[in-house]
Amino acid sequence: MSQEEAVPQVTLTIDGREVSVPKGTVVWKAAQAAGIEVPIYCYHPKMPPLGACRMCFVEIEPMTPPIAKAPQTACTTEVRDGMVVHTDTPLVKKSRKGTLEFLLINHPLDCPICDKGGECDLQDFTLRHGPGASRFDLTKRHFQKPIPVSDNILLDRERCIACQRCVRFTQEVAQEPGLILLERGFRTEVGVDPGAPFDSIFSGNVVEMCPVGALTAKSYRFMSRPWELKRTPSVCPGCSVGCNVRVDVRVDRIMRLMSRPNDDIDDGWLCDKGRWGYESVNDPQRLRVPLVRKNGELTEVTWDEALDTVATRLREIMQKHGSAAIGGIGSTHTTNEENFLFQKALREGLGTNNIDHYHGVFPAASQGAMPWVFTGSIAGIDNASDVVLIGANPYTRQPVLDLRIKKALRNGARLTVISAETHRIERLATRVVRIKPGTEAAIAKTLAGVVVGEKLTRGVDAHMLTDDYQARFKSFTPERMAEALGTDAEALRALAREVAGAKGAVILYDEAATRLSGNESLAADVFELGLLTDNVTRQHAGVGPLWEDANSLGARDMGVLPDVGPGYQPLAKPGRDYDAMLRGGVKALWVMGADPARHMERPAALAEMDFLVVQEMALTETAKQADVVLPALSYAEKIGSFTNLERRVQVLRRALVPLPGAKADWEILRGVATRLGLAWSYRSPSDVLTEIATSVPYYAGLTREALGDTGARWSFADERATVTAQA
Amino acid sequence: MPDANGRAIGPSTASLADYQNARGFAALQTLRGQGAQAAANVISAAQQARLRGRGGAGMLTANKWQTVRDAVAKRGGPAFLVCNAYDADPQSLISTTLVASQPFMVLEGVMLAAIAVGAREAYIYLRSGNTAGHTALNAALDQARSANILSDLIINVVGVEVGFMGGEESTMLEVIKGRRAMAQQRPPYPAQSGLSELPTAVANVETLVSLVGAVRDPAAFAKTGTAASAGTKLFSVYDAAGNGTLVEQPFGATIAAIVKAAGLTITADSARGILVGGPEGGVLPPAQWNTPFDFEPLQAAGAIVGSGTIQVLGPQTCMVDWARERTAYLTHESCGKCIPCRSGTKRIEGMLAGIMSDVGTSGDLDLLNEFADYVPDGSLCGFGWNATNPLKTAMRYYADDFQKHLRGECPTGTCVPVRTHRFAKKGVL
Ligand code: SF4
Ligand code: SF4
Repeated sequence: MSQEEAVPQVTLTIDGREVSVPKGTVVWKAAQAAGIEVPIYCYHPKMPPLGACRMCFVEIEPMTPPIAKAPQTACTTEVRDGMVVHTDTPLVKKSRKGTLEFLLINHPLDCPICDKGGECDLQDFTLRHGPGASRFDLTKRHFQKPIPVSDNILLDRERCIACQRCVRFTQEVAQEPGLILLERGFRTEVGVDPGAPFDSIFSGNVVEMCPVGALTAKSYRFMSRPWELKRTPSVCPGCSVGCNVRVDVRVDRIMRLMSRPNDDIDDGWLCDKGRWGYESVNDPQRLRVPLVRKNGELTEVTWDEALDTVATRLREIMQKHGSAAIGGIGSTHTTNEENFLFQKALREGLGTNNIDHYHGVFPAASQGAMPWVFTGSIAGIDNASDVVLIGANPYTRQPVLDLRIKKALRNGARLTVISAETHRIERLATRVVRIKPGTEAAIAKTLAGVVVGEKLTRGVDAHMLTDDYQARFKSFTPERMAEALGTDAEALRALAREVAGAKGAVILYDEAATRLSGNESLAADVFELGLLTDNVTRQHAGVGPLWEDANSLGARDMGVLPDVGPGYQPLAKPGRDYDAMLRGGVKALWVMGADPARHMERPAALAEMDFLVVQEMALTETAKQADVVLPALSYAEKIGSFTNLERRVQVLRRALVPLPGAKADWEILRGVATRLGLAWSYRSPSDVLTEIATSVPYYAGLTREALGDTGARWSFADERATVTAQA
Repeated sequence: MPDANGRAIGPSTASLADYQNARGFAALQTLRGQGAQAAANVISAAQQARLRGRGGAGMLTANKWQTVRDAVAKRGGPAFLVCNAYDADPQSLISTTLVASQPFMVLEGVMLAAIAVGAREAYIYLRSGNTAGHTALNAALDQARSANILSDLIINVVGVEVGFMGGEESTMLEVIKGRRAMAQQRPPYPAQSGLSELPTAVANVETLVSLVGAVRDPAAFAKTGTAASAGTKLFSVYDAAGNGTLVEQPFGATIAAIVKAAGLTITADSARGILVGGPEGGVLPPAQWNTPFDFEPLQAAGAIVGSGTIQVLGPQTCMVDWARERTAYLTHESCGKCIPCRSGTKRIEGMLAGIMSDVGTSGDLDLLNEFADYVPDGSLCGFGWNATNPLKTAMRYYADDFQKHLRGECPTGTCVPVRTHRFAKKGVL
């Protein structure tokens, strides 16, 4: 791997403390590194400096200010060697006081009912840096309040301090229309662009960024005082990005999800789907009591009765029809530990390999090649030179990744969108290739065809490119394919050349695209394109799928598959897959955290099985057909781990008191397994993780402690490098 | 630059031939023959001529452009040039007149500056309401283009109306980029990162017109003016009734002389003061009328070169009310980005309104004094740095006006209260 150019360090003194930071750092960041608070409003570490709020004043010694001796803004001033900064001189104190005094002139006395009260930067900075009393005793300015800026967010203009964070987030980070500044001077206010509603999927971030209570979320308005909240670090269960969150709970309900910035994953952002997706956890309709079908009706029973029923019925069916009559469908929403136990219970307790979950189409694991792992890293996308999306729409499916791609674009990357439908990010794309649905795989082959045909391969041994090999791409020329694909040959040629010459190309497709008929080989084709152009392990490059759910990759890694066990250990006798099981391939089905009815033309077929047991939080379509329904806990009520799309394993913590009556899936599994005669002694998911760490190669050595707050990532590129070095 | 008849700017030159007959574009042709040396030659001519920027802080033009050249040398690529012919001060007659009557000289100035900084593309930025200017400039551009005088320099004419802030350097660049008219924090200075994040030189149209003279004959140019600032300066001089005249005088001429040159005769009886520098300028009392018009002496007196507007304030001017009215104008023109300027101007206006309405207190004066410095010190751009000049000079030279109002009496008997007892009870405004 090539080395990033080392940034020279600069040493400066702040309040007598010496601190070294990379060249180009602003004084505010340097002060932060030295442990000195410099108050800020407009500055946000993820956005370029603005210099608007005049709160971060410091005094810098060797500088000759433009007029008289004036304070400098720490957020816009870059450090220089030998700089001497003071943050506590009379001038600094006076300037900060002045700013706060002005900000407070018109600020309403809403604190007692303001959502932000208690965690408001205006309150806090006034306490630490402000004047104790106002010298103005005026009637304050009033506005109609609040006014909605979107379906989910309200704006209170009286509280706004015009720091522009929200406006700049929508314009510069999300790069979408939405919030703008209206009017001028003291009349300046935040508003919605008249021509473009604020309907961004990232809108919740502005509520979190607003330093005061000017922007509030409908979901949290007047719900709680911040000091009543119990805050627990966790991971968003919304999609495969795995953004880090803080779950804020009051008594027995989730009040809100806040970001827990992790620069490797989310850069401090969340999407609305994740941020406000906790309703299912708070839902009063959640299942609290096990149900067993008696006389055709689901009837409330005790846990013992329910678990006994499951074990007895499964054993009966196994004895009558053999193990092959039993199958299990695992989950992309439950933890690694639970998926591991699930396949273990089925394999060891019931002797069946009929195990699967809902997922895309991927080739079987073969030597070294695992085309289902994104070979790059999320953070690496920042500096990619090219991003190619093939049948992927992160904006709606893996939203925070969309912000990464936009960051790459701001860093100069080119974006190509290859898709059958229009996607929102297209207006920022360098090139849009419109195709017929289901031709994504053929596109990838065609791109590879151009690379081979024009002899553009990189990092490939010449002897690999045998005549036979090259002949495979004969029919895949853009000109020949253009019509079938419904696209433009020249664009494909140009794209192939770019990818082949890219400093680092990131090529992504959605897991769901592999399920379209015609795309069965998409994963392998994209992987091959990556290999031919050396974009698999190259820095700032990578190829791979974007998964749908928070633990899609984890379920796979844990061996919830018919043909391989945990860690992709091949099985002598593969079982039936998802579709085969649902088409009547089994007589008894055990479903954990999944709703296969969604994918069936005739969900009623489920009821025709001899026995169906479902572990779920709510009465889903599948659960309604079940013979036994076991109420499960949500991600927020248990511990465990998720594996995100770049194979980063992250821990869940218990943020919420478990719903009385429901049990965590791992507990349920333990209950059934014990009744099946398995001697399971797991006391908690940590014990399961220990077992995973010894039996699944990519999880080797993991412990909850080692995963800490930010998780650990198994890197494809690093692994490759090690293997190559050993060879 | 006064012509043989002593008229400012000279007769308008609407045809290329006329301009060329009067040595027009000669300097440019000579430079074009000098190849790579040309840039350095323009800069050294500006240096020798002691040419200072007419529109801002009065930086030496040669130094300013050298910075741009250094930035270009460091990062490679082209530079941009922006010619500010916007007349931010609505009272200013300078840019409007220059562009309308001397479009070729404006073009020559732009081309010389483009050579100096290595710009391939230039913007001439004026008010969209300046129809005469647009017409003259576009006609001149057409002629120059057909005569192949522009060479490969791209000149864009941009018209905008964004109020007083439109004349502020960084705001101007934002507006040209198509963004909201708001000032930007510097550094990075435009010289390092301006349009398209490339080095950008921003020059006032008056500076560029002066540059033509400076390049033609630096020594002659340097003969007029002061040791610090060579050459002449244009002024929009207004009498107390609001009639304006454009005059041209060398740097260093006294305020009294400039007013006289505009044909006005004033005495301490017929005028209470003279505003020097436009909306953000300072008011100077009779004792200061002999101040030479140059950057440093004006600064010492509390005024600025500013927009070059000089206005006689009649004997009936109450300086409290005058400062209030000036501040009210600025309150509405502030872009609102930074709080000291956004709220400071508004607050000063409010307190002045209180004093002027005879409901002020002596505590108000302390606050005003405090804000007079806090606003400039805390503000982000030149607008805020100068926004309290009217207040400061009014308080400095007409302290008695304020005292009288605190006692409930208007010094000139002209003020009509705008605040009532409702506010008086609260004590402070
Ligand atoms: S609404 Fe909040 S984030 Fe937006 S400008 Fe106002 S104070 Fe700043
Ligand atoms: S991008 Fe995915 S993981 Fe991140 S907040 Fe949205 S739903 Fe949650």
